[in-house]
Amino acid sequence: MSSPTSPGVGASRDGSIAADHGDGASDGDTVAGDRTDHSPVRVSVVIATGYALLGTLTMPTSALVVIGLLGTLLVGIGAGRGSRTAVGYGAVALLSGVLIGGFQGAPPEPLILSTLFAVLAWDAGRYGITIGEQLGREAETVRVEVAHVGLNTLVGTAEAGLGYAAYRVTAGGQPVAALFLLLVGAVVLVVTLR
Amino acid sequence: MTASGDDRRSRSDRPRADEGSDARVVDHATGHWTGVGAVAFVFGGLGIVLREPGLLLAGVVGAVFAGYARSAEPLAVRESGEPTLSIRRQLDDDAPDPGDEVTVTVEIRNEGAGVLTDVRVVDGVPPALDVTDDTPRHGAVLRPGNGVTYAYTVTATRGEHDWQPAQVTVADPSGAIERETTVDAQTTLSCSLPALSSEQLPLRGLTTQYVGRVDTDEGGSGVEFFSTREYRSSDPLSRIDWRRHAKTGELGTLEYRQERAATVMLVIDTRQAAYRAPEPGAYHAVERSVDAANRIFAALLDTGDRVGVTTFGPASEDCWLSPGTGDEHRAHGRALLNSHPALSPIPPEEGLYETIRDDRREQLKDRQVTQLRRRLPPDTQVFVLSPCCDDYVPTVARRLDAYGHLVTVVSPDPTTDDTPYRELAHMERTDRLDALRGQGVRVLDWRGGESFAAALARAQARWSA
Repeated sequence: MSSPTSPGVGASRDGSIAADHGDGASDGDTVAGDRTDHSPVRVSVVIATGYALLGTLTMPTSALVVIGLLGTLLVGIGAGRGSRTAVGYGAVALLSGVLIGGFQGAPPEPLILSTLFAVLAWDAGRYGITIGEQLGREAETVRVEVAHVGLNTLVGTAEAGLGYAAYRVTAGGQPVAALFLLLVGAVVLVVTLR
Repeated sequence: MTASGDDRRSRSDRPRADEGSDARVVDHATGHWTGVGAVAFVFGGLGIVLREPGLLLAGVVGAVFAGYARSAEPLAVRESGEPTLSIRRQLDDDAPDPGDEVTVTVEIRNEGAGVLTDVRVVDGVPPALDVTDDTPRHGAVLRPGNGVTYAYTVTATRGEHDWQPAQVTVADPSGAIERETTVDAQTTLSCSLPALSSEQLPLRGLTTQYVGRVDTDEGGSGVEFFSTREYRSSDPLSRIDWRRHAKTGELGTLEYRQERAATVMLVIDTRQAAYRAPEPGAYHAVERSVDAANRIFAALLDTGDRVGVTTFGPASEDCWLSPGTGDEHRAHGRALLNSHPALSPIPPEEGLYETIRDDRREQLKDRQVTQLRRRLPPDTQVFVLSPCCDDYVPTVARRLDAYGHLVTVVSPDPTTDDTPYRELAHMERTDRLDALRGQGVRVLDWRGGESFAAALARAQARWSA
């Protein structure tokens, strides 16, 4: 005697038993699978767009702000529609703004901030898509999202701050190569200590 | 960061927990930070080449996150053999009636020593239960010893439903590595069809009608007047025609139309094609068939008929209750209707003989009808319960009719007419039922949203006309 069909959670809820169609009389059935809305969760969309906007506003020149706005738009749309690619292109747009600013010899502060915000926006956008895929938009996920983004912001800010502090301390006429070696040294130290 | 970003898209192949054995743990890199290293290289490299400290420092940001993601380690979900997560479920009613809403409260606790910043829970709702309010999914941040509670609502359907282990994904704070595991807690919802006492039954008309049809041409004890005959010495006093005695002084005996209990077989269509509902989440036709079968079964037993139950579909050989009477039989029948696997509320995964070649399939389908007919006791009346959304069941009904069984088709209507295709399906079904009626098969068309009693009254008006 066969036991009742009991596909695992993965199969029945995520894999969604194909809703029947085709032979006319089909009108779905009670276990027609997954009716969870798997679009990205809202808080992350807001956070991602917000960070992208911050990254835009910290651009060194106003011409770069235009590129930044393009990036923000892409990040916002990508995060909202669940496209990791669009979020990625948005972040690339923001970062290329930073790169151009660097070519033009902009001061380091806006470059660091814009980069940090661009990376955080990219992270938040992708994370929102991941959570949307796994838990769906209806689920209660605000705390998880805020915890993830908050911790990453903390880590990014702290480390970028340390790098910047090292730069300020050594900036008195030292060549860039010295700064680079200092940073490499710090990384090696961290890796060995772990 | 070499992990592929596609990992999460192949979630369906994650292993299920073996019952009894330890829950399996699967780690995978999510590729969440893939590409952030390029920021470090491009910016850092250009910073050095162009001697721009700003770009170099921007590269540091990329390097920081790359290093952060690289250093991520899966969080412990077990400590010295004990799972660090526990789950508790509470049902506000663990024995509801079909269709009742049941609120499930889930508590997930962190029993370990570490903070879990990113816990994603997908509760293992039994496949047959439909979540109607909120969602069995939840994201939580859990400090050691802390728990979080959430709730969702399911609609109860007939049967015994065991919750499956909840799927839990614990990600490290950076989101670079996810660890998937299952957390189990025994929870069962048993939902049985209502026990119908005879007061609640709306079926009396139906039953007396075909009790009369079974055997009409014999006089004896009964209710309906049949004939009179000469008194014989063994006739009971109550049967003597006293009026005639008073008029003529002769003794005569009244005879009534003898009633013989009918033998009825309820045949429920459980093929995949019968699992039809007007909309996702609505009761499908098999559930309604079982509901109708439950009512008919109880009503017929109440009138003293012998009733049996079987299914027509996969595993129908296993599901056979020979016609019988009595309290024990009634209990057996209810248990069978409630929880027999062949009457599962979940559709079978494939159609009847779907994997078999076309010509051979027809043969097998044909054989199934023959087998059903062979098992039926002679003179059995057959109730076929099917939505009749394809031509197969009407064919079965016609064949049984041709073999001399009195066939009644009870057909819950799952069709709607909100789109042209569905309207077409609706009309095709109506045509099928009309064709059956035209061939002398009695049809009870049970519309959606209509009570069974009303459908029965409508059908009886038609039958007697």
